[in-house]
Amino acid sequence: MVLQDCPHDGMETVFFFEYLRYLNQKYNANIKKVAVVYIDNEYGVHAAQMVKEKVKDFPEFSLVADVKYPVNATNVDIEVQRIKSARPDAIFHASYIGDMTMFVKKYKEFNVVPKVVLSYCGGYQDPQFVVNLGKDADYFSGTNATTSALFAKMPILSRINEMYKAKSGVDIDGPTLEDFASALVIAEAINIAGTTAPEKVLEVLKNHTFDAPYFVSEKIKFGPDGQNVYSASVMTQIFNGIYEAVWPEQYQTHEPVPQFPDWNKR
Amino acid sequence: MSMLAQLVVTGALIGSVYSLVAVGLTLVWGLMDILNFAHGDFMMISMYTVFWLYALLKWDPLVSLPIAALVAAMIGLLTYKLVIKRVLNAPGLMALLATFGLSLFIRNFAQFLWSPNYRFVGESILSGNKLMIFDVIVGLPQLVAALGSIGMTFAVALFIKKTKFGKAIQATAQSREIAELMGVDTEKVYMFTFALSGICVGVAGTLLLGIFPVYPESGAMYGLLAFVIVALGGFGNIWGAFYAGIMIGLAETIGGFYLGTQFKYAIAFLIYLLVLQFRPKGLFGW
Repeated sequence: MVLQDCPHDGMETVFFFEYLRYLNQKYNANIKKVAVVYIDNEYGVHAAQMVKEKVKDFPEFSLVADVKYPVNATNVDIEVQRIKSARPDAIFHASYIGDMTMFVKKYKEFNVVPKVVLSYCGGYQDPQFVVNLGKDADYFSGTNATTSALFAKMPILSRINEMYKAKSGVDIDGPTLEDFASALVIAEAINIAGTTAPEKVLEVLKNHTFDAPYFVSEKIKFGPDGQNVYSASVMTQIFNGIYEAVWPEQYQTHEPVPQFPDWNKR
Repeated sequence: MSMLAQLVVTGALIGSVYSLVAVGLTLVWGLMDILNFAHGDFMMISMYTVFWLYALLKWDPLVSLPIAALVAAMIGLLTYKLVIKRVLNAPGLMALLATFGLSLFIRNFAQFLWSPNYRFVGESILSGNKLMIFDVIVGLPQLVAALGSIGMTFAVALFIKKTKFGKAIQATAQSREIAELMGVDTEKVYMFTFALSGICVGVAGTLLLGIFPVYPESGAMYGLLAFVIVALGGFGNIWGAFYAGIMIGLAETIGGFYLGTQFKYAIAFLIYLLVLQFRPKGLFGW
């Protein structure tokens, strides 16, 4: 049995649509048309399948472009031209760091100005995204288990980051925090079980709700399929190179901006 | 209409760079009947050279171009001396396996040295600049990459056709024994051709770094497309590689846009398979 503490593509997709709905309601963003852009592998194809499935539950949105690109693509020119011709308000990306960086460069070159770009766990979450693109990384969004902007709001997370930073020299990021949570959960399960016998530890993992004050969800509970039923994510958006938490509101460190400015006005 | 014009321009620009990668490959293939599987990896090494000069010394890729070309030439030269020369008179499969092994070695060694991370040149003289010709957008890094590739292809073609050494290369390609009887130092010709092949791919890699990341596998798809282009254009035919490169670039962009972006390389490979059914020596081969 595989246990997963981070949200899967289906959960992230629902989170994306709910965020778009929030932007429409609160900021009158008028987001209607969505495009999904994804790499042609299990990660990308599954994310796209989730978009096609979940969009049915959000009738105010329509899927206007489905752009799949090959693994190891030498360029993304025609992909960006297809996106541009569909004129989406929001773009969902399932891309790794190299592809994602190429896409942003091409968005700028072909003057693609959507309202929102949301990324599944992948290239956007890699801190290299900001290093590669500088100010062009601003206004992109995606889910994240944490961000340095949240440390001031979450004292336990802040303490964990201090310990992590003392050893690594950098702030803890989302995927690392998820790894940390996995180690902590298995340790706690062994403590509760009082043994390392796999069946007993698995029994605890299946039935116990674990405290996780370092996650915004604050707890971890594995469902029958092994998936953590609590989404340990916030929506982040980059401002001046910093991943700010923009939604849910109780964790907000910066207000979201539901419209990309023109590329030449940055 | 403006979309079609945009696709044609984009395809031609992409195809020009493919051409230069393929020209380096076709030189070796045409001269020695050797399929260099490590060709794309030479490109990757030149890209890393440019990247590190940028990251450590803040050199612009265009400034680093001669050094990257020189590094790629040296790698070509060493490949000939240490690998190819030893299998030159062995059955053809040996050279093929040797270059395949070399490719694996270079990729894994690059991963060991520099990790699998994707690296970009963030700022350069050209980055972020573009031209608007009516409704057609042309990125300056891509335009310079294409013009540089076309210029380099012309220079190589001119060198092969007009210079004495170029004629020695042509003579060796036709018959090594007769060229030697005529006084051609074929050893020198082989060495130089491998170095020239490295220069071509080194220049292409440098020009690409403004628009494409470098990572240990970054030369793989370019190397694969170069094989298709060389076979399509005719083995050893520089102009054949040039035209075939443009053709593949156009097929990729126009076909990919209208039939599905996920098929863009499949379309290129399908054209290659179809052409080989009717012209096994390529479109411009003889």
